Amino acid sequence: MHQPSPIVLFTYLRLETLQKTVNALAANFYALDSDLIIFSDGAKYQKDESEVKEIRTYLKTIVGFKSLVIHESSTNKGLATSIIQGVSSVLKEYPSAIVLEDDLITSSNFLIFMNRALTYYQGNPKVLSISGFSPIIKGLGENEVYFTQRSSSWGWACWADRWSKIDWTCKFYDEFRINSKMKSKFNAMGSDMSLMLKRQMEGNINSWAIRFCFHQFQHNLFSVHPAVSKVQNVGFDELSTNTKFYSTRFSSELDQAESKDFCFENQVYLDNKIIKQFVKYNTIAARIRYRLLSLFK
Amino acid sequence: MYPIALFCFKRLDTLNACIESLKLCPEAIHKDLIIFSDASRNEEEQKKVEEVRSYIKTIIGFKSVRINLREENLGVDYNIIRGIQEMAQEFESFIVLEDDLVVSSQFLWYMDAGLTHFKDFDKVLTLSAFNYVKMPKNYIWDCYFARRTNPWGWATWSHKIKEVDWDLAGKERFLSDPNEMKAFNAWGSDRTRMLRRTLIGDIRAWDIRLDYYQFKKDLVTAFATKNLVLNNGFNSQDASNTTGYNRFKVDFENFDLKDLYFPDFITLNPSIKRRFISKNSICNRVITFAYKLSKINN
Repeated sequence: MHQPSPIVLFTYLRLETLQKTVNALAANFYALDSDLIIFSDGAKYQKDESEVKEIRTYLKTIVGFKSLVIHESSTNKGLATSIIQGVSSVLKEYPSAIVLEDDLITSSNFLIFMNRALTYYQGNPKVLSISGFSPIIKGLGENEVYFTQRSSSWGWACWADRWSKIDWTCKFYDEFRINSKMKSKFNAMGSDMSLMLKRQMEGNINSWAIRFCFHQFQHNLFSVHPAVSKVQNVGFDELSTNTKFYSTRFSSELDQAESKDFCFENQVYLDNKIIKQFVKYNTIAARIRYRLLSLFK
Repeated sequence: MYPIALFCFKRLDTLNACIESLKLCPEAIHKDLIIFSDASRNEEEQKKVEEVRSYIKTIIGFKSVRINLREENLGVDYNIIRGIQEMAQEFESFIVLEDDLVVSSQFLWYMDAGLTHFKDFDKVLTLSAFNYVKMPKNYIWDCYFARRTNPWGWATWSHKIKEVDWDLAGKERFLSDPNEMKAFNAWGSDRTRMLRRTLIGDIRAWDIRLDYYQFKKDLVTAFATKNLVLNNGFNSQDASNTTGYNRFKVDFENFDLKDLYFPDFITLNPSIKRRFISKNSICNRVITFAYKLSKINN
């Protein structure tokens, strides 16, 4: 085994879920051989300063990794800016990185899956990223993978050479905006995509992920997902930044099998049967249903 | 951090208010203040200019104060245009004020942050701390972008402003091209008329030249989403270009967070654009005009 990719973890205010994230990571195979690099964002409001302090006290006590580097921001950057700047700085030093946020629980074979996939697809220019997360997908063997054109932001990995090509200013949007064919094509990976991009470009949200996916769309690049999810999101509580309402539509089965062997597929393609299942979590109907459910929660 | 260029002529009362408001900014004490004092055109003005000049010698509260006394009258346009060129020779970026403006105590803080953030954004030509547009509810940033400059409390970067063609090459073509005149009005229907009047020497506006350059090069100005500048000059007898009614009347607003959020790309929000343009719509300008007429008849 050669040196595993570093783990880059972004955290803000959620000590409880952060501890779960770190504990699950530390229980991973490979954890002891992996560098852990943490970016802790500064408080947005004065009232949050004590919580940020608590987080930072905890961060210093983390053990179980090959090394630990903590970056504390004095200002509040917000998640998107933190991720773009943080990942960019790490990928100046490392050829690839595995990225997590503070509300994700990983299975014990998450790091193995990510590292093996990074090695396997390193030379394949069609693959932009590896996703650790997958919704429940039927019809695949448990160690198989599938491809989408929508990278997940819940536990993912990317290479420096691919990352550095991303245009975070989305210059292509001017052309895209007036082309309804392109817009509906972008929505093939979920009917929320074009609207999300519009909201991003008009300054109503700030998301690094929609820009990442837009780059993926523009250049026809793919993400690799495991058939059984290696990541579960536990962040749908009142403290989360970007997930405002209670939602179970993204619930996944976390891999319990502890398998270390995966059947990677070199031939990159979209399997319609799988994409149908993949996008159904993001259809308008599903979004309305879960928003309604969240009202009664 | 970044220095301040202040342009003045003969308005002592508003200049004094401007300086006092600047001194309320916590950053003032770290600032180099460079004052460009225009000369008088006649004896009547000379007394006022002398009063202004003896006052500016007494200004304290800044890291340094440097005074440029113009030997002959350059006019409001060329005092500023040359001043900008002189500032650009010496500094990397700078903040620009005129003697009829009053600034909020957050003004310098905002300008410093914006100048740092947008330095390498080639598309952002200037930064404005004056704003009259109410933001849509869901808008998340602390600035928005418009394809129009603002002369009331602004800042720029020397490497960008040095490129401006203040002599307006291609103006003849512009005045005979209806399509271009129409396009120039896209961010306010007053602009083509203003440029035409400037070109034929009817008015002495300097900022429309900057606007025209911005239009030709497809650049933007980043506007503060809260207003940090007031214009005090509308009721002064000694004003150069503004008379009477101020259709942009707004109050100071505060940014209430300790950090400012600037986007890392150019957003264009259609509903902000709509609100931005409506202030300069024909209807609003008719009100301004009617107000002026009523003053003359009185």
